[in-house]
Formats: sequence, structure tokens, C-alpha cells
Amino acid sequence: MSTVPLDLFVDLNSMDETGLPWSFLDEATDPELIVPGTYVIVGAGSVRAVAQVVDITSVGVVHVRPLPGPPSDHAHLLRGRAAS
Amino acid sequence: MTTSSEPSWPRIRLAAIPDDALLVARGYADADDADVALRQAVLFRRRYPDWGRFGLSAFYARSMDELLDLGADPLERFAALAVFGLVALIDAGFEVVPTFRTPHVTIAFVEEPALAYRRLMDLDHQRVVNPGHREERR
Repeated sequence: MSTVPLDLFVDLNSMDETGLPWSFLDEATDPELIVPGTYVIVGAGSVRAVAQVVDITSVGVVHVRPLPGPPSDHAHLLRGRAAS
Repeated sequence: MTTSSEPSWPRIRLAAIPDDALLVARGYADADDADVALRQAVLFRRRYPDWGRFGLSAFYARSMDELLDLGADPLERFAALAVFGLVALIDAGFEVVPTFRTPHVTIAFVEEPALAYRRLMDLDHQRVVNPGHREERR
């Protein structure tokens, strides 16, 4: 369980044609943070993961690639933003 | 990278869910699970409007070993899994559709998501502690 603030709502059960979890860009706390290649905090409810933004489609679908383990394992990827 | 083609219908696999796939599991988001599921069901319909259904992602399993494999990946972020019987879901009126990549399925419904979620969680199901989950250090 985590109370780390979310950058992007992603149901980590989700999958689409790419095999990756997805959400919409307008589900981001700050859409400007959601840039392909960057690492952000994703999840929903009390579930969190650090994930790399893979791409953003023309209709605003964001694909992410979550990293294994809790967010604190990957805090160094978050550009100084807290992960725990 | 920005991509331009956007299907308005989820990819449904040609291969049916195996006859011996008895279990359907979703990561369970604790006390917030209802809010998460309702929000995701609405996003799914927005994403695939021509299909005309709300949808929740889940994964089929043919055994407890396969269930534990799901818990290790792709559901390792969840401390608990909600596990339903495939037949029970179908008997309750949910569609369980083999979508995207094996063993992913979509639990699909057309009714108002809050009602559907309540009906889903009223079904006999198990909440299984996920041994593949690693809790955040405190």
C-alpha cells in the first residue's frame, strides 16, 4: 500500500494491443510530465509503480512500461521527485 | 513517439479461452478497488467506443500455479488478487472475452458500472494474498 502521489492514473491490470498498461493523457496530474522516455509514478488507489512512458498516441492514449518492485527501488529515475 | 492509428474496438483473440481455464484474476486495489474499477471501466469504453461495452482487465489461469505466476508478473504490484470462477462470471451475465495478449481477458458489461461492480463483488470469489508482491519499505 502506498500514498506516494500519482503522476498518472493507470489501472495496472490493464493491457491493450501493445501488451502494455495504458491510460489517457488527461488522467495525468500534470500532463507536461508525461513525455516519452521519462519515468513517472503510475497506479491507482493504493497501488503504485515507477513506469517509463513509452508513447502517446494521436488521441492521447499513454502507454507505460512499469518497472518491477516498489517505487523506492527506482527513486533515482524520478528526477528528484520523492518515491516513498 | 506519437502513433496515429487508433482501433475503436479491442483486439479479440481468435483462440478461445481454454476449456480448463477455471479462474479469472484481477489485482485488487484494497479499499479503493471500487473507485479504481469504475474509473477504468469508463476509460475502457471511452477507448473502444464502437464495442459499446464497459470493460475490466483480468487474466485467466488454469491452476493455482498459473495464478501465482500472474501474481509474480504482470500483477506483482498488487498485494492481493481477486479470483473468480470463470463459469460463475458468465452465469452472472458478464462477458469474459479473450482480448489482447494471452492470458488477458476483458470482463465486459453494458450496465451502469457501479451496479456491475457491485454485482461482480457480490459473486462468490476469493481474495488471495499475492506472494509475488513486494511491499514498499517503511
